[in-house]
Amino acid sequence: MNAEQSAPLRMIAESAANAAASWGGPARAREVHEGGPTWEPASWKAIAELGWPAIEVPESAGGLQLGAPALCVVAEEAGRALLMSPLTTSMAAAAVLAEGSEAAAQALQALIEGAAHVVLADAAEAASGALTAQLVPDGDTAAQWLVACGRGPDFSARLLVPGAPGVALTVRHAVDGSRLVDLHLGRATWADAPRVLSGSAGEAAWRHGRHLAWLGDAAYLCGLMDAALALALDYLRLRRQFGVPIGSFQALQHRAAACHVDVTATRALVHEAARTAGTSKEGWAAAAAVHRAGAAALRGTKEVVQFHGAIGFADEHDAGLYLRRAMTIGARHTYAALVALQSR
Amino acid sequence: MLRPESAADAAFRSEVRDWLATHAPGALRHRTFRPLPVEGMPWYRALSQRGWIAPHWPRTHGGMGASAVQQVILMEEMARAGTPDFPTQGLNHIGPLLIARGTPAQQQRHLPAILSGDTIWCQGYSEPGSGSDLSSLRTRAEVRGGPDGDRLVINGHKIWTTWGHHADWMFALVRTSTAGKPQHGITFVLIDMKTPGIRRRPIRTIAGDDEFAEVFFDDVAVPLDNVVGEIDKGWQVATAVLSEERLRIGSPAQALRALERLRMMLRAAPAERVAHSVRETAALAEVEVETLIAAYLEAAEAAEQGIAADSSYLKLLATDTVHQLLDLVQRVAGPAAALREPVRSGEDLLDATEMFLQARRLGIYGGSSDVQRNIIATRVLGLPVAGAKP
Repeated sequence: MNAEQSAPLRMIAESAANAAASWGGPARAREVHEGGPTWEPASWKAIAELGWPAIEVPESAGGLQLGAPALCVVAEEAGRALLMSPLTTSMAAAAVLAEGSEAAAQALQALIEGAAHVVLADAAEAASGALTAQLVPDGDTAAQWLVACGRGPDFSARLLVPGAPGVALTVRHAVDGSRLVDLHLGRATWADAPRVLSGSAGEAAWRHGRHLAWLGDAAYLCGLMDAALALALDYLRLRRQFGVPIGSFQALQHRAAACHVDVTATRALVHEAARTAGTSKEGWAAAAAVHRAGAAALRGTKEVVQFHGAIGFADEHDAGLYLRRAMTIGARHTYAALVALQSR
Repeated sequence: MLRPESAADAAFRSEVRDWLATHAPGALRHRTFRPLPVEGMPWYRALSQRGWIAPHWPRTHGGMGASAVQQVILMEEMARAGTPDFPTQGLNHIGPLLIARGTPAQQQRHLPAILSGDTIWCQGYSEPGSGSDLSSLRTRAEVRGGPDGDRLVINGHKIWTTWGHHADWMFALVRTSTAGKPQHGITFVLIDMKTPGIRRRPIRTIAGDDEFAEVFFDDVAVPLDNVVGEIDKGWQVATAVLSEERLRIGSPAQALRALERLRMMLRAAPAERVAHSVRETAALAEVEVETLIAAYLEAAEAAEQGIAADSSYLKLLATDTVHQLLDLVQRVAGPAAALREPVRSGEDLLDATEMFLQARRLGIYGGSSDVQRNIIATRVLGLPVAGAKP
C-alpha cells in the first residue's frame, strides 16, 4: 500500500472491523454450524446500508466504486470476524450486474438495498441441452441466480429465479454448515431467461466478476487466518503444562512463527493482487491470491487446532469453526484458479 | 512483479533490459558462484558507471534513490539476463551503516570507493565461539598510545568471513571491555586488511567454492579514527541498520535467480520426462515468488516512510522461497541433479548442483532461520521466553 492509499483503506478497515464483529463472530458462525441460515434479512439489510455488496459498483449505478483494494480490506475484516453472510459472492455479483443490460437493474437494486442477494454460477451444457452448475456457494438463500454459459460470441449470462418452472436446486451441506447448491436448468427455461450479458464483452465482465470473487475470498481467508492465529497465541500464552506456559516451548514457538510468516506474506500477495484489478494481470494475480490464501488458511487453521490439543479437537471449541470455514471457502475456486495459474 | 507499472517504470525497465543486452558479461551468464574479483569487478564497475550499482542508497550519497518498484525491476531484469553476483558487504551493510552512523570523514573516505568498486569489504562478526550468540565475542582490542596518537590494538580470530580473503577492508566488532552485560564493551571498527599482523585463510564451502575465510589478528594496530560511534558502544552501531540489512537479505533477488534457473531447466528438460505434476508445481512456484515480491514491496515501501519492517519474517520467507524453487530445479533435472559438471540449456551452461548447495547458506548467515523464528515468536508474537522468570 502506498502513502496516498493506506490512510483511506485503514479507515475502511476500521469501520469494517466494527461492523463485521457485530454481524459476525464465532457465536454466529456456530449457529450456522448447527443449522442456522447464513443469510437473514435484518443483518443483510444492515450490511447493505454500509454499502459493502456494492463496493465495486460504479457510483452512477448506486455503488461506492471504491476499487478492488477496498473490497479486499472489507472482505478481510469479514473473515477476521468469521462473517457467514454471503458477502464476497454478493460483491462479485453486484459488480457483474452493474455491467449488465436493463434486465439486471432490478436485481442490482435489490442487492444494493439489502433486500436480497444474488449468486453467480458457471454452468455447463449437457448433451440434452440442459444446463448444470455444481456446488454454488450461498445458492440456498439467493433471490436470483445469474447463470453464465458459452464462450466468446456464444457467451451469455441470464437471470433465473429459484422456484420458477424448469429450475431445480439441490441443496448440499458444507462442512462449516453453509450450503452449496447444485443447479439443473431445463433448455426452455434457459432460452426464455432474461439475458444480462452476452458476447465477448459480456464474458469479459463476467470474468472480472469471477476475479473479484477470488480476491474477496482470498482476503477473507487472510482475516480468518489472522484471527485463528490470535486465538492460538492467547492459548499458548495461558495454557500451562510442566509448570510453564506451553508457548515458551521452542518447538511450538517456531511453528507459530511459521504461521505468522504464512499469514503476513499471503496478505501482502492479496493486497498486491488487488492492485492489478482492471489490468491484463488481473486474472493470474487473483488466481495466485486465492490459491495461496486457500492453501495457507488450511495450513494455518490445522496448526491452530494442533496448538490447542484435545480441546481443539472438541466441537465445543472455536478452533474448529476456523478450520471448517477455511476448508469451505478454500475449496471454492481450486479448479478454476489452478487452470488460470498455468496460463501465465 | 504483479504491480502495474507506471509509464516511467515501464520506460526504466526497457532501458535496463536494453542496456543489459549489450553490457552484461556474456562469459559470466547464469553463473552461480560470485566471479573472482579479476573477472567480476569489471562488471561491478560497469554498473557503477551506469549509475545502477546502489539503487537503495540515497542520491545525496551517490546512490540511485530508486523506488522499491524500480529496485524490483532491476532485480528481475538482472535475473533474466543472468548477470553474476557481486560483493555486497559494502553496498548492503557498511555503506548504509556509515551513511547512518559514520563521521563525515569516514563517509568521504569510504562511500565513493564502495560505489566505484575500488574497495571490497568483508564483515568481521562471527568467531569460532560466537555465532548466533554474537555478543559473546572475544576478539580483544586495547587502546594504546603510539607515535601517531592513540590506536586500537586487536588480537583474536574471526571466521565465516564472506570474501575475507579478497577484501580490502573489514568492518568488525571487537571487545574493548569485559565489564557489564556482554553487549556492552563491544566496539565497531574499520580495519584496513593490509595492516601488519593480519593473516587469512580461505574456507571451502559445501558447494565447492572458496566463499568465506577465517581471519587472524596478531597485534593489529588500527587508528582510533576508524572507530564508528564510541568505544564500547559498537553493539548499538551494528544493530542500528539491522532492519534495513534484513530488508536487503530478504529481497527477491536470489529467488528471481532461482526462478530463472527453474525456467531454463524446464526448457532444457526432455518434455516427455517431466511429469505434468512437476509443471504444475512449477506454476505454483511462480506464485511463491510473487508472494515474496509483494512482501518485499510492502516492507520496502513502509521503510521509505520510516516504518521499520518486520524484517525477520521477510528473511525467512525469502530463504524458504529460494529453497522451494531449488528443490524443484532438482526434480526437473532428474538424474542430472547429481552432476558436478554443468548441463546445457540452449546456448547456456547451467550448473545442476552448485546453486542448490550454495543456497544452504541463506538459512544460516545474517541470523539463522532458527534465530529468526525465535525473534518472531518472542518479539513479534509476544510468546514467553523459555527460562524467563514468570
